[in-house]
Amino acid sequence: MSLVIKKRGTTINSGKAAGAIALLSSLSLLAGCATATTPETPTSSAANNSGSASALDCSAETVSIQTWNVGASGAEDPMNAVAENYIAATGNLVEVNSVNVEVFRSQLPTYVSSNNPPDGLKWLAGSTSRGFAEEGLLLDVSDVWSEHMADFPAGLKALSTDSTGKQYFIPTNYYWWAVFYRPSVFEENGYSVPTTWDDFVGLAQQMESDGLTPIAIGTSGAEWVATAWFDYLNLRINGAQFHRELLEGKHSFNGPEVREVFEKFAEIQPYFDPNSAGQEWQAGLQPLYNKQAGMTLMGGFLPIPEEMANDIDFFAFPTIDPSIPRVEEAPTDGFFASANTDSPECTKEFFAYLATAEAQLKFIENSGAQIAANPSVPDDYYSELTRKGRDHLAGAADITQFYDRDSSQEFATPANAANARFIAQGEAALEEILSEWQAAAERVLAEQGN
Amino acid sequence: MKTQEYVIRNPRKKLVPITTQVIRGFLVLLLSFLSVAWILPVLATLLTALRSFDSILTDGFLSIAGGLSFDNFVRVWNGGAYTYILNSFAITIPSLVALLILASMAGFILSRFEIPFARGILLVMLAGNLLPQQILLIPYNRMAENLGIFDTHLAVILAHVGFQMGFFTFITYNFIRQLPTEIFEAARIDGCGLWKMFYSVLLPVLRPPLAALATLGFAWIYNDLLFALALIRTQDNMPVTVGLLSLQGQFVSDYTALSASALLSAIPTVILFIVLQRQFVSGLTVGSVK
Amino acid sequence: MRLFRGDRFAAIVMLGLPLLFELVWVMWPALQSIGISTLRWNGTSEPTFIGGENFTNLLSDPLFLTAITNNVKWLFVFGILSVLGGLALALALHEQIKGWKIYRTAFFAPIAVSFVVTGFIWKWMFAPTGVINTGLDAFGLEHLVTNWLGEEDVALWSIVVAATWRQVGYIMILFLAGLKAVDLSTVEAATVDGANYWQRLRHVVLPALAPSTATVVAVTVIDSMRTFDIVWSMTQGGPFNTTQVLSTLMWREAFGNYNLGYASAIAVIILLLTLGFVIVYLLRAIPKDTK
Repeated sequence: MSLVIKKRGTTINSGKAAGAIALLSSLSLLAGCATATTPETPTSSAANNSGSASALDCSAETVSIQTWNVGASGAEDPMNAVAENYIAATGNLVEVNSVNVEVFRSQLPTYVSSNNPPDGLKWLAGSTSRGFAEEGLLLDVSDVWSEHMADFPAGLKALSTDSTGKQYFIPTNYYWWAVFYRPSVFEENGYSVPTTWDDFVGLAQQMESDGLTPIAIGTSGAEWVATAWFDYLNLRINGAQFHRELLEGKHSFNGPEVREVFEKFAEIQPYFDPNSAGQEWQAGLQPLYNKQAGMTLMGGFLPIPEEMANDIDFFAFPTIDPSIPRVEEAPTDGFFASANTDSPECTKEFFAYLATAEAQLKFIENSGAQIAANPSVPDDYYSELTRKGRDHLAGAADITQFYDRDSSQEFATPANAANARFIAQGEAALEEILSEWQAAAERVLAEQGN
Repeated sequence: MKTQEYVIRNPRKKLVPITTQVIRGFLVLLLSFLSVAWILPVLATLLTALRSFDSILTDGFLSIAGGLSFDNFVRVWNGGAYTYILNSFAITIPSLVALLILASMAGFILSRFEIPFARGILLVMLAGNLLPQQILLIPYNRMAENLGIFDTHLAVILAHVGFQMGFFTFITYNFIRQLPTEIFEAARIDGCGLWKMFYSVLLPVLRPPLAALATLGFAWIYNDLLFALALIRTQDNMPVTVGLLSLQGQFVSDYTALSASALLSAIPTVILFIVLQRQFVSGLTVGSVK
Repeated sequence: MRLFRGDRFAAIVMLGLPLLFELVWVMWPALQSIGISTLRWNGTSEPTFIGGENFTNLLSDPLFLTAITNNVKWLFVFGILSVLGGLALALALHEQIKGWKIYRTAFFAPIAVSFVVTGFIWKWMFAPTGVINTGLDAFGLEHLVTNWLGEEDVALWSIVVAATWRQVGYIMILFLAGLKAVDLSTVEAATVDGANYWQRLRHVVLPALAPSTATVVAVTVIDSMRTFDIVWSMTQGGPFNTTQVLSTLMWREAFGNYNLGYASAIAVIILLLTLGFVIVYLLRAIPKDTK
């Protein structure tokens, strides 16, 4: 039995046997059921059209979009609405398939390496997408950028460009991270918004003595929530450059800088929800909604129930070292296309639509407090909260994405476990946590280096 | 001197005669208590499924304040549960039919005819069923891609048929072995070829093991998570096990909706078990008692 | 019976087709997996051959050791609890005391529910504000309130409780059938000889149950090594990797970190561990008088 590993391709192929077996297999079975969208050959007019300003006629092809939902309760995937608008406006066809985010994540490599891939995929900007681009798996969308996205900020463009200078990513939305709280709770108890670290810890102490859970959090099945704390502490104490280098493996997790981070982390650790490890992140937010918790470090994607829409606010993660400029995390979501797509031009046509302010606003309509990537959205489209968030980011000296987007998923996994554990167990476990983290990081780096 | 009383009330075979009513009474109490404790988790889930989310927030999990209704079931049904359950059936039924036919054939040949290495073949087939499923996932993914059946129910059906083939064959083999040779000899004398023998002589008497296998197999295939997760990517094609994960993502920490969806997804197997309990039990025990 | 020449084709199809399925859809993929375990591969770019390096890396990976330890813990606790529990229930129900059919159904009912749903039901029961903690509070036992799925010493056992709940009925049925087949005359002879219940149990009944016991043990071991659904739906291997078992680790490596070679190596280890017991089960299962 030989495994033929194709040199250029990416699949292990059992060759002609596969075809014969397929025939035999299908002989003894009753008809199977629904299939995915069959690939359609592009009509010649679409293929020859060089994508000028006028819309392509893509009514003969269906662009299939694979997307995912984190889901506010019962909410429909916003992509459906965007697609509907596009279809109504242009007559071109788009089909949306939305799956649970964990399912999506586990299937993602199969999407991009498939011979019959979805045309467009929603994913996160960062290392994974960049990795796919570097492997040549993604469609070059530079012409969409040059024709439709010239006014986008340079930072977003850099985020979407691969090492050869071509764009592969269409950002649609981003959000900020900050400490969210209920103004009514603050008012009731006479709290004031902290700006320095000592104020922040003092506030947490006060909240505890007032019978609140100072910091709401849930890490079960979502340990990355804990890493947000590490990210921010590291950015505030050691700065963006160190943070980026750390995530590239250039520093030790057991070293003095990281230890300094955990020293501060230990000051706030006693004030976290003690149930953090036993509840999911959405359940962890529940006390905040019930006014039984004081604050939480979260991203703008947090679900905001209607009743709370006017009673939620945020402040920036407090300053620890005034000499270090303020860096914020602003993870960006967007779309890319598989290089194997059968409808590259029509997919790019749809991407061009996705880049418009109209589409992006529709997209982020009910998704917490998100900001459209398109800079030409007038101020009054955003809620006050979102506008504040946008300014919060605009005033930052630098922007990072998030641990698992700046480094790799593999590199982030031990980080997530380490930070979730620290939040649950505190200083007592620190030595073990750091040595395990460093060992795991070394292992990942050794593997990636070869 | 111990007097031994045989309790006449249950004249059926007993292992050991119980000497006192007290012990029996104690057992009844203990078992009643345990049975209730056993059913409690399901009942608690049912209770939650019948209540509204707000009443859980205000009154906690163990009350019925706020009234009971089937709203959550309706919500979840419309939220996708309907499609997922249909998909599960679309995968399970064809798999079962294929398995029953193929396993009967294989069991027939292996048990009634002189086949070289019959025992070895049976061993290999049974071993297939005992492999960890995980070892098959990545190759299945690639194979389905190469055959162009990725993201179809067919791919999942093929996976199940292959994976369960060994156990099904083993069961039919054991059963057919014990059939009286005369019925086959008679068919032979009548001039029946193998196909005719299979169809008119064997299948009619194969009902007991086939019913057991159908029940067991339905539960296994219907409740499978891994194959579907590795092979289906379109939401609308997903069976209920994967769909449940998606519903979890959709209804997040809304435990009322989640409870409803969990129970809904379990209804087909529960019904099957209640209706076919006897067959199911005999199916389970066929392999273990020699 | 003998195969006549005319039967040859029919026999080949009847046996060949199922065998073909087995080979193509089970054996071949399993071999492929073994092959993948010698590669470093992320599923999209070109794979690199690295021989046994995945395995040596595994052995030095503390998570792997945690996972194996958990599988072993699982095996013993889950195994012993469900087997002894099932046996006890079978012995009790075999007496056919009043209402035994109802009890049997009650214990057996959880089998109708998938592991995923079982995991969900119990996850919700173990939640910090879930049924169990609420109940403990209500009965004045606040000091027992625990973060059942969030504390590293407790989480694994909580999952085992859930899995045992589901498994006991299954084992009970297996033993019940075995008990039915016990030869009554031997038991009666022992009774006449003056043996009491426990003595009868130990010297007559249990030995007679040996075939069932062997099957039960083999199946329990195999399933303990393979367990995935329930752990994944309850904790996903958390909190902070304390409930990782081999299969959840494999899943995360394959579909979270996209380390297909490493993940396949874990799958191969699962296979090797179960192989010993698979062989025992098989040798027991297929009678020696097969032609």
